[in-house]
Amino acid sequence: MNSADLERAWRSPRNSADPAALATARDQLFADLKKRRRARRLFLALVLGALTLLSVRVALATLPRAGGPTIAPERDWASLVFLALPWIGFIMLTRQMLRHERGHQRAGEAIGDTVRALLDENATARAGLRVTAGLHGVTLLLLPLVVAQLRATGKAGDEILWPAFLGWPLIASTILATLWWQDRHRLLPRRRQLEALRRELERAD
Amino acid sequence: MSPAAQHALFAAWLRDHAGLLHRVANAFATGADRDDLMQELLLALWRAVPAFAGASKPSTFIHRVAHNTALTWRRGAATYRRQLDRFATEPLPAPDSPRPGEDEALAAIYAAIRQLPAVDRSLLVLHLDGLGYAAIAEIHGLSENHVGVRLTRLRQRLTQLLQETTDELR
Repeated sequence: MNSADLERAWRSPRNSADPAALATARDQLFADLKKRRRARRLFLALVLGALTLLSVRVALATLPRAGGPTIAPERDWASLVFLALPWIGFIMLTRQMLRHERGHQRAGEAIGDTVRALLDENATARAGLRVTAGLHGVTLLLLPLVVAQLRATGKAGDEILWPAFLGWPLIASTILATLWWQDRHRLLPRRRQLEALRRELERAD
Repeated sequence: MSPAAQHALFAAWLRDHAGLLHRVANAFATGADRDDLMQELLLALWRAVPAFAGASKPSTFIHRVAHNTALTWRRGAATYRRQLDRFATEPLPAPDSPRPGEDEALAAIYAAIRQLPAVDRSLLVLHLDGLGYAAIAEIHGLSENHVGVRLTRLRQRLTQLLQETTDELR
């Protein structure tokens, strides 16, 4: 096949999209967009719900009640920090999702710029994962203090022991394992793919 | 941009430039992966509509979006699993078997293009689609001279690959 044959085949009407397949793909796209939007809302609602429940539970145990012990930062600080940590994580997660959304606006950029921006985004996402993992680690270290403070002030009794020393460590371990998996199997291979692409782009012939 | 305007522009682009997406999808993937990539291209184009400021021709903008997406696209895990399942249950198709609406010459061209590294593939498809060195350089963020040198070598490489394919078929 010579250059003329190549160009003739390339410009032939057969080298264009099948209208029926394109219509199906377009319909599927809009169905997929709806599904993605619903899944994102559900995910945020679930995380927000779980956080609210956790915060209410800790707040009820910590905040003063009529006739009960009052709140004192020097005595209850561990509970207050524990209460704040998941919300810090949630805010970070939401910011990361918004940043990812904004990334789609880069569509009109040159490919070299996109690759560099995606590498930056990947580095930020990996740093975010490390911070989230760190926050979970801090909650595990903080929990014995929270329990000790709540029991010392009479705000909680033995009923807090199982959820604190079995329930939360199990949940936190699952989350940490998921974060590790995400880093090793998604973000790291993605970084390698983008770095290879950058090398290929910058290759001088 | 209002959703109605986004829909209208997207529909117009698909009507006028669907072939461009088809060629990019074929140059970067085959089988179920190709369908997934086509879906990604449509999604990227849909999301990119509001970013179109009219500074360049729609076709240049769509080329940029499509090649950006194809080059940075990741094959989904679901597709990979699906491929493994199919591999386990179905006989493998002939490597150059044409897709519906695609003759043998086109199948051979796409098979040859897919043998090239990703960036070279993109450069060649843009060139075959009739874009000049300046436009290609702008899309890739490379110098015009760099694009020219690479494309000279790539045209020779493609001809060589196609010759090998033709010889194998004889």
